[in-house]
Amino acid sequence: AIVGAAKQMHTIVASECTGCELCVAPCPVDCISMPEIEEKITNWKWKYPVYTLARVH
Amino acid sequence: MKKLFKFNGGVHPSTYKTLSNQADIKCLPMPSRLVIPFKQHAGEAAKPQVKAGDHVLKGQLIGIPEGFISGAIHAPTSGTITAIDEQPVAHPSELPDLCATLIPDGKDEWVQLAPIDYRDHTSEDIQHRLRMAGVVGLGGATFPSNVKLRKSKYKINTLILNGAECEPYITCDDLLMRVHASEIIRGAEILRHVLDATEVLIGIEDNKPEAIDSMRQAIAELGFKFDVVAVPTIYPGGGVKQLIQVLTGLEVPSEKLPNEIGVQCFNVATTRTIYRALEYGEPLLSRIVTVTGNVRQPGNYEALIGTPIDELIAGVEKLPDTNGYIMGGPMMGIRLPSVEVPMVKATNCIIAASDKLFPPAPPALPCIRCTRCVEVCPVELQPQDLYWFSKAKEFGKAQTFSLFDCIECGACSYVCPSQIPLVQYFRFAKSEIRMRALEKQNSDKARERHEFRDYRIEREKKEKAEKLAAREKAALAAKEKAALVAKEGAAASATEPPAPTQSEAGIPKE
Repeated sequence: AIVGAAKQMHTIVASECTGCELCVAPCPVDCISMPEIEEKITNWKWKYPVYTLARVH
Repeated sequence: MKKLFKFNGGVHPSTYKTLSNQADIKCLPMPSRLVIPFKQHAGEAAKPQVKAGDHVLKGQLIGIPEGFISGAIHAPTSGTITAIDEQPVAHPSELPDLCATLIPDGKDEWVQLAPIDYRDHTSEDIQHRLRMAGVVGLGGATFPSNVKLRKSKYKINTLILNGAECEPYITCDDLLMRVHASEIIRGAEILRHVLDATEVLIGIEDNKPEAIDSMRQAIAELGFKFDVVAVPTIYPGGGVKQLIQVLTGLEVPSEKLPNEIGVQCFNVATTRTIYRALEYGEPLLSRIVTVTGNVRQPGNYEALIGTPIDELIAGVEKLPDTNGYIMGGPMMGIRLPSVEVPMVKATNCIIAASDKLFPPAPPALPCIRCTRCVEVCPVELQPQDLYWFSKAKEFGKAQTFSLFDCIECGACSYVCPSQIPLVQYFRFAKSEIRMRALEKQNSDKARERHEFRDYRIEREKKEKAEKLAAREKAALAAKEKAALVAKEGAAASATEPPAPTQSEAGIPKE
């Protein structure tokens, strides 16, 4: 979500960003960056277990 | 003799309790540094109240609770805060978290404490004090205890104290009950009073005869009518739903809480902490930790929260083939990413592991549908089907089979003949489902916002068009009116006598 008055600097509400990237192209001063969401303890989740199976002859 | 009930399944692993329950609780020397994470409890992290360079006193509030489910964080001793930054913590993700690093000044100076008489205070006031004292469940789940004292539409009949300690190796609650039984019993009376419970049951596994005797003696000395019940030693008999079932025969409904059947349960160590928080005004600053496993002198230590694990185990002389550490028990504990992580409120035990004690997991074989896992599941779930669905990422089906009732006790993986790490699949499925529910919530909100924006733009366009139309109409009407007036004026001037010419009007003729 981006809010701002006409012809003034706008503010990006980062918590509501969905990552659609539609804002990057129209920006006339090229000041929007889209960093990847870092994995922190708050958004960490258990990974899909990958285990080597035993070879059965 | 109180009639006991049974819960389905359960397993009997070797308990290894005698390694650490033969000696008294020992004290540790003051650690060289303390690293105190701001999230040591279920719910939201505490907000830091101090910054680097601040001098703090023992028991001073350094993190204020944020949100409904949260707990306070305090300085375990007096000293200087040297940093508020991300430090490695004991978490299965091996990611760092925000912590306060405290260098003790050796003086151990207390902050001003405010003890109260619990009988003179309302339940809400006591709940607030416990929240600000950072009291959380010390059985391992670290749920803020004040939330469990809230009045709800369910009347609490039975207060249960959990002294079962069913996991192998862990003996901290055993020792606590032997040494501090009277403080636990006094805490139980406070809880009984606040909850207005009719009966108090204390469940202790029958492999702890000294603890049972000690608690019964304290009850007799204090003159209360509490019941110490020796429950059969079985894993996971200390799980809250299992203990409630054994002591009362009542089953907590699926995905519901014990208070809905009129029961509330607290761990014995939490109960003692509640007593000390109210009677002495002391916040939660330390706890008893069992240090055991591949060490020469296993035992229990009274340790300050935030003690780095390497300093905690310095006195036990680990054996040379130690290759890692487990925080918690062998069934539900986590491997520590490094030995420099700090101890937290949930740290009930540190087990030094070696290849002999904890051989590396053999490779898993395919599931043969033997249903040994179903036989041992204490919640009467079907682990083999949950495994099938979690593996195939069929999360809807997994939820239909009550995935979220799984307590992750590990009894199923313990008995699996194919050595499949079942609990890892369930944890993956649960966290995946939770994340997807959260993402769906966010995307629903985003869609609503987008739809409203479209509607707003449409509305503005329509209003503009209407305004324009109205203006044009008004202009047209005005033009027509003007034309009409002009026409009328011309018509009127045609019928009137002609206006006097300039010569007749009085301008003197030349």
